[in-house]
Amino acid sequence: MNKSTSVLYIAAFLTIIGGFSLASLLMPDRNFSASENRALAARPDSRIDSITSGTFFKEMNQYLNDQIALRDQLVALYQKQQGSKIFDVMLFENLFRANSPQKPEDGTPVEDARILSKLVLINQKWILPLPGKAVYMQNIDAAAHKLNEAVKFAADQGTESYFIFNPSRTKALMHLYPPFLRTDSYDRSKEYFLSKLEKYVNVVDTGKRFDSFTNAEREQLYLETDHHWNIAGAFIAYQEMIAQLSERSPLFEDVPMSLNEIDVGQLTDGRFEGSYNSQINDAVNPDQADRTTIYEPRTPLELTRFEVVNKDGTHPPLDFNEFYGFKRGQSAYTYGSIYGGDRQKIVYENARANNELNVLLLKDSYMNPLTPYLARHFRKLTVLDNRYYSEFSLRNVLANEHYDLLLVAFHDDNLFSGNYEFEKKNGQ
Amino acid sequence: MVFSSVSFIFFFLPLVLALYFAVPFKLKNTILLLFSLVFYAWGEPRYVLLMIVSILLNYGYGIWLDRSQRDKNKAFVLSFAIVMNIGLLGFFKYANFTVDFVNSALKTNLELQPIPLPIGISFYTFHALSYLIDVYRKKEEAQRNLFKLSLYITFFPQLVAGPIIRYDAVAQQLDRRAFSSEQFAEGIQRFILGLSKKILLANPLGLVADNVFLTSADDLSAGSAWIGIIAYTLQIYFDFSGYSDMAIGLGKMFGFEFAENFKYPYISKSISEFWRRWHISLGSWFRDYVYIPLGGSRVARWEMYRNLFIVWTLTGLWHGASWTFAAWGLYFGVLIALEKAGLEKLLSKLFPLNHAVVLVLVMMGWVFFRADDFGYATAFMASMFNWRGNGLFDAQALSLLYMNWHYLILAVIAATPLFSKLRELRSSPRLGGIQAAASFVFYFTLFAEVILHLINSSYNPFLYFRF
Repeated sequence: MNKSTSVLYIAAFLTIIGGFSLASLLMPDRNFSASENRALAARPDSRIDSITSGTFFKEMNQYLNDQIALRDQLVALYQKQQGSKIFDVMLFENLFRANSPQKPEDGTPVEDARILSKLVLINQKWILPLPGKAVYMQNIDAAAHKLNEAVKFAADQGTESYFIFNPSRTKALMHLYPPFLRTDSYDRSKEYFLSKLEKYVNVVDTGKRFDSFTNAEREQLYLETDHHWNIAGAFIAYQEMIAQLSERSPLFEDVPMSLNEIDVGQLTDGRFEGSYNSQINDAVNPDQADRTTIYEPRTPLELTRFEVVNKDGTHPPLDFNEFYGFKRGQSAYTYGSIYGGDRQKIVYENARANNELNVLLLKDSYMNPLTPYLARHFRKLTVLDNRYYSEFSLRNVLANEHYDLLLVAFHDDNLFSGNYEFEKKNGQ
Repeated sequence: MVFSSVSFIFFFLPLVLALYFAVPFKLKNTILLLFSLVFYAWGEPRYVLLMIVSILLNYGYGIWLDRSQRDKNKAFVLSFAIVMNIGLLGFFKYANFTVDFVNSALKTNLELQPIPLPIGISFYTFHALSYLIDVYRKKEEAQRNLFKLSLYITFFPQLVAGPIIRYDAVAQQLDRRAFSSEQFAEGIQRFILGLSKKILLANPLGLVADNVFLTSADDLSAGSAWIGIIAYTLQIYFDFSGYSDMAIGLGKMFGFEFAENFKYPYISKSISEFWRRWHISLGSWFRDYVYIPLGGSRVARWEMYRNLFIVWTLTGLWHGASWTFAAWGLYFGVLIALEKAGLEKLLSKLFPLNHAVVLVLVMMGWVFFRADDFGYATAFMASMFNWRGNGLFDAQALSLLYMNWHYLILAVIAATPLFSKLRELRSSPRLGGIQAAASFVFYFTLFAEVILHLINSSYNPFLYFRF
């Protein structure tokens, strides 16, 4: 190597490493990463104890990783690269083994699959998580035990309980994965979870209704680029919940709304910002993604009281129509913006219900589109999401106010998350 | 701290380079020493003191050796220093292992709290021993300057994962070294190459190997087992040789020249040749400081085999305190003994089959190296040959192949000297410029790719709140 070439190497190398270093030091720190949906690390305090224990260095590594200049742009570039044809995991499949012909009811044939940041992009349209193949028995044991205890305590308080199991997207759309990624671990995990519940836990498994649909029909019930189902899927689950509760509960009897009471439309314009799509920097064009079904009940929900507590504990003065529903003409939509989003607490009081039941619902975000539908059937419905409380005690909630019914509604891939922390102290 | 991290590449390295080249020569060693201590403390703040104590003791032993007049005294001082160094290493690395062994062998109930292993202790202990033995053999004088000895032992490029630099190889460079832009640029090339081996090949291959080795042997098909061990065979090579490349490259940037540690070991035609190409600095350390002092091969045949088994069992145990490591070392001892007994000659007649035989034998050795215990290692090997009846191929094998075929192909090519041969091709002077430009683009494309992977690895979407 001659001198001028070596100088060029040195200049390029030092410019790159020094440039990143200087730019990172000069640019203001960011607090939050929208695409990752998490707080970014702040500069750690240098204390003697944290230095000697090593936590300072760990925190400093995290801080430097999070605050490096051009981080989001470089991650987007990486994801774009991983989305290129060479990384299509169906490449061999398509080259050497032509896809066997499928019947329409078998659903969309997988022709293209790329793995981007632990997500699988199918046919440039569907985004699914990279499936796990393990059954986490210990975690499931712990979660099922907590649920058993909660239901037992509720019974002691004179509250009738139902555990509602909604069909998760990953399991319901397993046919959309390339064959070698498909797994029955989600079925096995669900079965294992159910086997760990005590006999006194009433299970409303809305997933059974979904299992009766064809693959093609199930595809119509979920969003393409988001973690969740669409309103068509949520509505079927709502009908199943009300029908099963009505059949099994001695306290409750009612019929669910039918599709005849709904104006069905479709999202035709505006971006749909799916939660998975945001994580991979809109690998699917949001202007074309998820032209999803819109349901608008013909009879508006009339409430005598409506109260919302946000995730941060604030009480916004919200009108129900501002809180929930599809608003035409917006430039961007998300699952959260259409269906109310995650909140600490929502209270619906409905004087027109055919009963005087006071109902408590503990839920995950799959239930968000359904809470106004459920509110039509009860005198009072209180919706709590314990993930957004730093301290939470279901025992206190049930002891402080009498509830006739306790509904615990999670999706069947949510088998041991923080949702099961029914008794949570600060920091847990 | 590790080289393949944002903290090192974009913060530590620019700072140490800036200060190193800003100060006069007499302060350069001090800068390197200070930064080497910070480098170590970044991963092991509590054990910096242990390392400093070890350095002070070895500094004292060196002076003591130098001052001892009679050979008998020198031998005593060296023996004492070796016992102390090995004692320190033994306590941290082998105490729990020894207690477990005693308990299981003698059915006792001795208790010992788990002792964390200080990073790099095996390397810096061997550096210190190299220094003392070289002084004893009068190959070098005892180092009177504590800072220089400290720098030899702690110099951050080779501190935590080698290569094991012999004292006689760097003693002069500690006093004076020439700097040139050519050497610095070669260092950059070497550093980028090592970083690329680690991040672009070893890390993804490691995920494949982890996936397979975390699978219960009851569920492991022959295809999965072979994919797993091939991935691990490539991972460990690119991980370790990548680290050595980075160390050699960084050394060059600071004006040091270190010897090569790997020379394409997977093209070997015999196990002996494999060990002349794999972790050369460790092999030559054991050869010069253990095997030859025991008599080497210039002794009676049975003594030579005894020496081989001693050296290879120690080599195995040096890698980790477990019987699987000892078995791995002994396995190579047996293979090399067999080669010395005539197998090597026989193998050489089987070209090119001997390549395949060596590769399979090495891979079987890696099974012991990677497995957590003997039970899993033997069950894994049984799966490799479908003796457990789990089938030849399954969905896991297919999935791993589909998703990683490009890494596997690239790694196999990169494990051969093809790239090195291409670099050595002499083009005409007219094409020299084009060759240099292509080389520049190649290295900096690799570097850009490494940066993309590195930064993406910190991308960690928080899914929990989405449920």
